[in-house]
Amino acid sequence: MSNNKIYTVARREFLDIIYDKNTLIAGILFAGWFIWLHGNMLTRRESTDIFSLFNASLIYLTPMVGAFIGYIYSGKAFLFEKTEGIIETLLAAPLNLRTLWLGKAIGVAFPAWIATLVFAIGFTVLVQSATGVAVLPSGPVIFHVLLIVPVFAVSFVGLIGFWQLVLGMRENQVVNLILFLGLFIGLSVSGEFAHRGLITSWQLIGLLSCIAVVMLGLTWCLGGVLSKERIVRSIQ
Amino acid sequence: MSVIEIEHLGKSFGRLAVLEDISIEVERGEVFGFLGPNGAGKTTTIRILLGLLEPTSGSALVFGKRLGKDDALRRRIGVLLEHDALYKRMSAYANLDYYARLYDVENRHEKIERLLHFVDLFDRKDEPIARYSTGMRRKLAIARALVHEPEILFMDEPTSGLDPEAQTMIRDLIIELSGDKKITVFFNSHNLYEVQRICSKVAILREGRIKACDYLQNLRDGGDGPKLEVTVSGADDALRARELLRNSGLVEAVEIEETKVSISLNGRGNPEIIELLARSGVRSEEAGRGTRSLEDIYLETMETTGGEQ
Repeated sequence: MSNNKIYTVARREFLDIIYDKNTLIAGILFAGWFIWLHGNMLTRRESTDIFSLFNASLIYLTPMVGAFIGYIYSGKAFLFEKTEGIIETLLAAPLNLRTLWLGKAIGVAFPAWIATLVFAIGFTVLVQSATGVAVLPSGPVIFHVLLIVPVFAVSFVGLIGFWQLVLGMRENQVVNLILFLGLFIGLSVSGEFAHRGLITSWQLIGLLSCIAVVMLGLTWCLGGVLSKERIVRSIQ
Repeated sequence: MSVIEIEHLGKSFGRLAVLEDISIEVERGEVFGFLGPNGAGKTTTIRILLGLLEPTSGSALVFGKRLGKDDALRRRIGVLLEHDALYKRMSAYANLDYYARLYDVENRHEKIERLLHFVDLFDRKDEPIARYSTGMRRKLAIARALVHEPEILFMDEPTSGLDPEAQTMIRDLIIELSGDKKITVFFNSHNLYEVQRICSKVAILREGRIKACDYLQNLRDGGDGPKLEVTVSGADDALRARELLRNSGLVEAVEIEETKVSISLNGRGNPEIIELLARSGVRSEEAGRGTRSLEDIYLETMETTGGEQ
């Protein structure tokens, strides 16, 4: 597997998202909506422990925001290339299937992570301005947003990409709908955790790191199941 | 030397047999036309050759090997499938640059510029290709397939969906590729005129089986040696000519259709036959080499094997 080629594929996917105003704006609007929604919910609560609520919000919400934006962006990298017949030409190139898939996952996850950072920064600014309290993310939260969230995003986009590559168009429509509902439920659940101000310690960060690594490993193993024949046969 | 060797190839999807016992050889530098109606199995054959599908039986080799995970071998082939495989938001240059990087092309900037000149798109190289016409995109797709200077080019219906002017443009480009650049072309099509103009060797596929496979000239000559066609002045002359020639021992076979006499030659020269007819008082109005068009061959093949158009 060549790092150069992973970079080449990832760079193209990243630039494609950046240059596609509609897709980019959809991600940013979603991040903005989440800043407004959760920022307002947090500042209206009569809790004395604003720091705990703020940090918990960032811990629980950022992976879900990253996943949701990754979901929005992933359609262009995987499903669109299948419907446009581009994937077949790429499969005929001197390119390992895992390299192609991983490059795409990284290329999509990177702008999704940037949008998550925008969410985190916007959320911080909103909470500070609304409460008048100088809240800043704690050490574990910064570690989480900078290192664990991108791993979550790559794993999640990789999983979406896997399904989009191996399933036929009709099956993909069903799976996408289920994913969308699942993400929405996930966002609500993580919002609930966040608003309860649940514990945000290094132990939790360790646990989340383990989950992220397991997800990445699982995604990596699934990459081994991918085959050109399976992908080509799902193109109709 | 054969650069593409397909031997007894079969492919089934579940119980559905898509290809059955296909055998083809393509020599270096040939333009090979793979003809057949939609759903005959042409695209499946290309996909197997490209290593995108596994054969159920037999083998499909390129340069004597299966195109599996051998990246070095993949760099020796170019691919232009039914879709252009271009990114519309990117410029022509950026599209070629992306593929050049994937194929590890050295001196890629120089090669990309040369290719853009070759397909006559250099002046518009920095425009997003969403602004290009369908024909221009197809030309760029050819450049994309050539960016790593392949020895074999696989093309699947390269002119489908193009207007006649763009079709001519693409055909001329392919002729130039095989002529000047000596690239072997494996060409899937159901456009008979196109195949007749471009290809030196042809295979006709129907329902997953090869129904004819030979050099185009052999197929046009009927496969039974050269033919002579003589148009005589009346139906009576045609009947007389048939009797004369059958009894002369000069020809293999004679067939008539109204005033046209089709003669399968057995090595004797045309002048001898014309002279015999003239001596016997049969008035010939026109004589020429009898060849069949690819359309005739295709239709005959489909009829004799029970195919549909």
